[in-house]
Amino acid sequence: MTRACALALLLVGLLAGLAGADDFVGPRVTLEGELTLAEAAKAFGRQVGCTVQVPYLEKQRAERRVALALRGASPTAARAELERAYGVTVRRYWRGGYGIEPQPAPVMPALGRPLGGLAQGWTCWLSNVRINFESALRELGPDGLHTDVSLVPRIIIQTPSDAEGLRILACSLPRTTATEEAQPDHRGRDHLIRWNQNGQDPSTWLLEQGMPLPPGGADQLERLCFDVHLLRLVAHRFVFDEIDTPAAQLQSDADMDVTLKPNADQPALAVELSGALPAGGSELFQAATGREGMVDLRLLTNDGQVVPASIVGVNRDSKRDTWTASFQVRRGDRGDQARPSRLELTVYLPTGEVEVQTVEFRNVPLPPLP
Amino acid sequence: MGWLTRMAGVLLVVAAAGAADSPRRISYVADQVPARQVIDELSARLNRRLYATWSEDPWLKKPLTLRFDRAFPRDVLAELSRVGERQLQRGDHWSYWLQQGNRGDRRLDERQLGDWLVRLRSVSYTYRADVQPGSAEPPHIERALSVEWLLLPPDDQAILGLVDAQPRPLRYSDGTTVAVGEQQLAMSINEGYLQLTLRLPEPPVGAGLRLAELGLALTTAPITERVVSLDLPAQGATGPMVTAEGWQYTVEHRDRRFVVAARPVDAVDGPRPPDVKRSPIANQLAELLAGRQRCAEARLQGADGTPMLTATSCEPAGGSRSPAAGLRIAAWPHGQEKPPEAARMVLCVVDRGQPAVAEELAWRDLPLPPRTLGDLP
Repeated sequence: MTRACALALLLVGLLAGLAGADDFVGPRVTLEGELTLAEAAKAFGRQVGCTVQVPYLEKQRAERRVALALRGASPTAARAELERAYGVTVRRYWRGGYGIEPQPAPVMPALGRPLGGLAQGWTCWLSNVRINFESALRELGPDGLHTDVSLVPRIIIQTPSDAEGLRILACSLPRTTATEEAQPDHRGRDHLIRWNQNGQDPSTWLLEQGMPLPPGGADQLERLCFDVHLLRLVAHRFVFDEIDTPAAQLQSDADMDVTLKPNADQPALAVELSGALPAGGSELFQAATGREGMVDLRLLTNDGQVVPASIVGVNRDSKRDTWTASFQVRRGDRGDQARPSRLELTVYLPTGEVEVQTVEFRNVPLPPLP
Repeated sequence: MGWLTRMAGVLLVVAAAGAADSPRRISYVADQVPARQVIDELSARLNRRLYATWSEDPWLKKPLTLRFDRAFPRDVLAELSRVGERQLQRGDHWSYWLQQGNRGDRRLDERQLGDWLVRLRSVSYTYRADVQPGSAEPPHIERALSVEWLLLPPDDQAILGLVDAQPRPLRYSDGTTVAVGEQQLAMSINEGYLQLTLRLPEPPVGAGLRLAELGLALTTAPITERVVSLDLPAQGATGPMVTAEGWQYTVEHRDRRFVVAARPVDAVDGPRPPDVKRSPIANQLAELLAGRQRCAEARLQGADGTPMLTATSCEPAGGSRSPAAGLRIAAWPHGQEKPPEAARMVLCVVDRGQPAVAEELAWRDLPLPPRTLGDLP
């Protein structure tokens, strides 16, 4: 694979990521007009429900206005556009907060491809391929030698939003053939590997899973494949305009109920969710909600400012026909913040069947053997 | 050997580490006793809960024969593992799991250093090569040799006796030497023991190359032990202050915990010791001592004197690291759903004495592991 070819793939991936902004779950971002970095960052944060820390910049750079024309873009695409337009790096510092760093985002060489078959705006990158070799003497004598040789591809899946990131249920081990028989696990699925999430960014997933080093000593792999197991999610949105009301507040839609309870003893809001399980949906529900992040929320002040908040103490349960979940929304601990008055809550519930998509990279370069 | 005194409900023993009557030594005899009974009885003596992984495991009926006379807990656990053919894996600080199968603790060599065992576990070669697809950069390759030791103190509290560990100049069989400054020695705690990992630059190329000389300098200090037996107050009450051998003890009963405030009677903060440049490992070990977490271990006893599995936490009182501030020790029943009412507490507090000189250990003519795929057998 030549560098030009790899970069071409990367561009295709980015274009695909920007093009399909209308087919994903999660918030939409509109950034229009001539905005300073601080104005654009604030607008971005308000629309995705996160705080954005902007560093001190020299006057000229801080006041420079850039014409933006994003309408209904995904958070990931909007973040990339901020980086491109202002020459900065936008990092996810924690789940509810981004930070802007003044230097341009590094361009990572990688084999990339859009995952358009799954949902618009998904991209998958092969950013590194490693050979690990270890030999260890643990005892004197012929039985004392332990060796371990593996190939470790580093694969990154970037999704349009945090909510889209929730759709990844699991991935298979990487393999070198497209048709290899997968060993079903006890649930009848492939051997599923839980991925490490990339830090605090639920929209990006990272796979670094070792696989046997193919024999033959070639300098490239003809094929590298893995399967992604995906849920389909439906967003349920609820808005509580007056969160300080002393009585419990109940809101419902066709599939679920949300109760917001006052919590006078603590500076936190108690939220309870419940709903009916779809027929045969228990396993799917367990799989989808056994993870953090089935909920996106925004705590806002009267004038629309986002207040830093985190979800703590999540409890989930499902019975024969129903499911329940409860958690607390805790405000950030900075004392100078305005008091929030409004809670916007989006709950993502799984629906339908698990989809399996095979991702394949061709002509993958290998590092030299030991 | 220690001495005893009894005054106002207090039994005090001050002993050198490893003294025969120390509660940190284990005596036990089992002759063809079912494993289930053995692990229950040893749990009580060790104050560590020994769990079988499966309550219906037929192994629990296997008759075991064990005999310990004032043995170190480390050696008791190793012998149980060997005789029972079970691998012991640490759960939390107060428990072990007996896993099926006994891999045997592999080692290249083992030496005794005072009451400690110094186990040379492995000599490893690692090769890591990275390529970034789509990049014009050449592959990034790292090669390194590492040596790993496990340092096993006789019991958990004795870990405070290690003061420093330093590598010595290393020599290969072709005469190449590696100065101390080119070696990186790191320490971590592994299953309650101290693990030392020495990272070395890539060794010279050459068939049949061996480690001609590998050295480690270890500085240890004696451990002093103070054992106090204290009557326990009722729920919500605070017991009387008890003074014994220059220390004052007060026990408070809060919920299910017994909290002991222990402070030296006459201790005053002396002049601050001069700043001495210490190795990173000596600093780590000094921090371990200053945190005081391992300094105390308590055993609660029922009214009839039956010892209960007990967990202990220990920290400097008020967060101060001044010796005059003393210790805050909390003890509570561990691993029992309905523990009996505790009537007494036997408290064992250890401290580190003055360091002895460093002892140098050397290993000679060790083989190196294969460094290429072609070298593999």
